[in-house]
Amino acid sequence: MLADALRRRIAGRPELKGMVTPYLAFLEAQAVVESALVPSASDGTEVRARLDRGIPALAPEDFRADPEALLRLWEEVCAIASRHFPDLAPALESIRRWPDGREDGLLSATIYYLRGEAGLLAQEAELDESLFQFVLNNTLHPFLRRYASALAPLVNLETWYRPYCPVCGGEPDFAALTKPHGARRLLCSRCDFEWPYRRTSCPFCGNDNPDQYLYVPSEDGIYRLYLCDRCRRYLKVIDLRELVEEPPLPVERILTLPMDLAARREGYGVRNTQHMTGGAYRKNRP
Amino acid sequence: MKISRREFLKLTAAASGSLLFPTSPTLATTEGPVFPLHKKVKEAVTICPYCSCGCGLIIATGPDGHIVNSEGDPDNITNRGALDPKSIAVRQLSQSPLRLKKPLYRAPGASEWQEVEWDWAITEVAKRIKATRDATFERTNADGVTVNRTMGLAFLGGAANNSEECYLATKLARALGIVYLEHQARI
Repeated sequence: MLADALRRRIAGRPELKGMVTPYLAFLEAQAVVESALVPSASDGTEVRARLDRGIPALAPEDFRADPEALLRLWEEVCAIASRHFPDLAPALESIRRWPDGREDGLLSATIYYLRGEAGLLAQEAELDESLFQFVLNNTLHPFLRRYASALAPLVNLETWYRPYCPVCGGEPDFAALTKPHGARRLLCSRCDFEWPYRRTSCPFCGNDNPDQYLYVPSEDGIYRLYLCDRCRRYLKVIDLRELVEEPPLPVERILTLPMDLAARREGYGVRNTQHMTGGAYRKNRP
Repeated sequence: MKISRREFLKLTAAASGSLLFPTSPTLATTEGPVFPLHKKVKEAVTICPYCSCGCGLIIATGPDGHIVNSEGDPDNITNRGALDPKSIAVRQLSQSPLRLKKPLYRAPGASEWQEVEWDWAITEVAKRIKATRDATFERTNADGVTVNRTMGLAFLGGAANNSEECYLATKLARALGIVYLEHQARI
């Protein structure tokens, strides 16, 4: 469904075709896996108790997936990325071979990933850290999306007003200003779950100083690029009040790649742990 | 604007989440869509200055400091982003060509308003308060009970007053002996 939506959007935006074509391939590969998934049942009482304490619904150690399906998608993501980004093929080949000989290698990597510690595995294996996280993200996406849809009924969005995802604890990487009054809904970078969060503060560091948290509007007024001058992170936002139909946010995340480039060219987007009070859920969160 | 191959390669190392930036030579040297980072907009939250509901507002200002947008604050628990027509038009407080920039005075018996200076207006108000208070001040009531009040003056507060202003206004009114101390919310 997401792949179809992206294909339709590219048809109207031919200038983006070259930039987003690889993501079409990722979405297609993920859709095949996702359609075959049956999420494992969760203990509603336990999940609600976690959420009440501000802890995301999915405990990292409770993640379950068919190891073979995980491995197949891991290899396919590496293959697609190598095809579209040939410069990265050698690094991707090392990443593709990483699970070899490791018992439950990818399942244990998932636990690290959900705890926000996957970088440690990459460092230990001397792999490109951001590329490793990228492959993990695209491999786990369909599995975590299934968890998100299964756990969504247990999440009380009225009371979850935190900057990290109530399902998996991930950071947002996109957001929407919703109809009718422009409330902000964040999109999880890991599981695509959407949850409300304050509009005028940075979800990565909590900065709400209007002199340090500004946005740049697109010329048509549909998109906004929020820039935080405190933690130097950014957030891409679509204003749904400007549109008749609501597009799927995971597709918009891809279509707005030029916004990522613009922000990164200005030095935004580099993780700065000094000010990280928001963003992803971390186990040692106060 | 062209994105150089060197720049793309540099950006690749910053891949995060589910996105990775293109590195192919063709893409790297092709003019792609560029998101221009001009005119940064600042958003500040505040409270509507009109009625007593205290609805939350978000005021957006452009690089020149002028208001470019005003809307309800969706995170304010009072109004959840909804506004009435007065609040929607709040930016006219700053931008309306009809906005008063000087006090207006209409002399007794006159039919027209005239612009006056602030210093003159404030002095005049003070003089009239003093005269009215002196003329109407009551130390005791008809039963001989000490009241120290004036029935010739009233004080009306507005929704735009903040706590500190209200504190000072109340102090002033009580010191003058005013008992008709009211707020817009109750009339």
